Amino acid sequence: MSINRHFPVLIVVAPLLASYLAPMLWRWQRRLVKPIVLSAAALSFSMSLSTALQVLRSGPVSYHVGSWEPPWGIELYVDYLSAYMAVVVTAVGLLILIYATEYAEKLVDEKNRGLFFTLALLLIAGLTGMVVTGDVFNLFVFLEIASLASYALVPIAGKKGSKGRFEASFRYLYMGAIASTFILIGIGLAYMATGTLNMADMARLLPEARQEYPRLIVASLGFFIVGFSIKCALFPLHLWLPDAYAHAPMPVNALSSGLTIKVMAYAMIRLFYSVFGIGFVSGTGLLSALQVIAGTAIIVGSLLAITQNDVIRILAYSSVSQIGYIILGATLVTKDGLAGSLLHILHHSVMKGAMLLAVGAVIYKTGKRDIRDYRGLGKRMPYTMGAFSIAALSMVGIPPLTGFVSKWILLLGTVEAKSYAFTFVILASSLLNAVYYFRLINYIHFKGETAGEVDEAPPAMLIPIIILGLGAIFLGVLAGLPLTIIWKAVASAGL
Amino acid sequence: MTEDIIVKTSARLMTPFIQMFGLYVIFHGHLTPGGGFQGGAIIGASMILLAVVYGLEEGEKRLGHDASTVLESSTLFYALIGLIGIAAGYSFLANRVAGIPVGTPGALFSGGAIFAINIVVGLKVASTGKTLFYALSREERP
Repeated sequence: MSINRHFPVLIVVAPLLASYLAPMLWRWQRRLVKPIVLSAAALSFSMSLSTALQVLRSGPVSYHVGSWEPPWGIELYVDYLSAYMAVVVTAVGLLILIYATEYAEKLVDEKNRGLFFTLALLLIAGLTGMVVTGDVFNLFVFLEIASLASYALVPIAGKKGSKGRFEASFRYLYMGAIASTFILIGIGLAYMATGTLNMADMARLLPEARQEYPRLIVASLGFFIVGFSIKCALFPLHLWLPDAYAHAPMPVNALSSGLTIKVMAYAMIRLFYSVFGIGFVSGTGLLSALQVIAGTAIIVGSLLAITQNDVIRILAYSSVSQIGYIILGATLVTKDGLAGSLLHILHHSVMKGAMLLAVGAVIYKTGKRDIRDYRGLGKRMPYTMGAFSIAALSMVGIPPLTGFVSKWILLLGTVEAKSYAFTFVILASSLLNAVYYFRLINYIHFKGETAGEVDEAPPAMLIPIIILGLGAIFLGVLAGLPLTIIWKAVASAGL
Repeated sequence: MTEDIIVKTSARLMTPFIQMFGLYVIFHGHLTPGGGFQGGAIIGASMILLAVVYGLEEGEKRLGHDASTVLESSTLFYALIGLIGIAAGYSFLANRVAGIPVGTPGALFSGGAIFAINIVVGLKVASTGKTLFYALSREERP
């Protein structure tokens, strides 16, 4: 018997264990905190990778927690989609944590630094838990772990942070709490109709329950959609996001943009395709509403980004726009649409991760975040700004970079669905993206010199930025690699 | 803080009973309604009561910050108990099947891992309740 069998649960337990240890170690054995935190994240990543390879080789893995058979016990179910998401979450999470070890040293209060690592690991544990679970209530529990950790991470910088940090965190907290309540009500209604919490079992029982409670199931779906729309900052429920980003430390923003809102979008996709059944969801009309909202999010997010001068807010509104792509792709109900949406989850994590961390490096060195102060930084911090520029070009969708590939597949998806309005939306949004990202690149490289004497950030910060920047190139050229697992996920979603 | 003999005396008299009841709820978590969380909340409330009546410093003497840190990490043992199941060749958090003795149903020492987990959760929740109170009373001004 091998330990491989336990990887689905250990992916979650490794960061969880280390996050419990961190506060004690921070009190008495401070120098051990970073090695333990990083090795837990690395362990979780390697186990996710190994599980993904195993899933690719021999199909989905089911794990029964406590050796209780589902549907009575909690089941962890790692299929192609879960395995893919677990790798994305743990890989990007590990890079951000490496970066954070140095960043937190300067820009997080000493009093809060131990707590920072505890919460960051707890966030990763919660997100991996959401990804691997096969139980709707378990999904909610991990959702709450992840959400509570992220509310607390916003003002974590303490006195070194900005003035409005508590207000931003509080706004995030109560938007998030409303969302959690909606999701819990959705779970409650579905549980009432089916009498089960296991996803596979619920999917089996729902068609029958629909006969008996036709409106209840639609209400449950509606609660889920609104709840997760708030959690993944889908326009017009995105209002918490720009504020939270403007006040939180940059690694926290990278975790939020790269992982949290992606996993929330994943949860929505999971509920649509594996629990409610996409045929039923599109029959209710909620899906077409969601399409229109996502299309609006794409355009409005980009327009709002154009009006900003604060780099962090530009990137935050860009995230609002990009989450629109992900939701739009998932709601098109075409093979290419879903594949493009899933690929965009990875690609946006890498691109936005690179950009947010690069801006973090500038803030670490100079404290500046207004785009007009970025003149000449291209010469002063060539590697950081190189990665930033590649990621920005990729975001616009210049071939052969990553953003081009996922947007191209999304475009094919809209054509396949004959929703030509959305084809136009995606094309128009690429032009809008070009407006604000070219403006950033222009300021950084071609607008003279106001940055003053600055040099590159320390290696612990620079290396993750460069890896993500290279990722923005190579995941575009080698997009076939993630696509092998994505096509299988799409096929098993029944499209 | 004003001296109030009635409040102080009744708080002093009540505390042991409140805590005893909390322990009862924790230890009988697998037998009766309640459990680690509920019992822990009761114990936490007793510590908040002492801090409210006798002042924050006095409360800190009873359960210091370091002790809280350790107690709050006690959830570590929850995960470690879960790992026993894996070590025994079953699943994470496996209980009886993994060979943890479960005793006679209905007896105090029964339930196997659930008994131990309730105690761990009780410690954690008691300490967290107290820490939350202290965090709010020493609020950081932005």
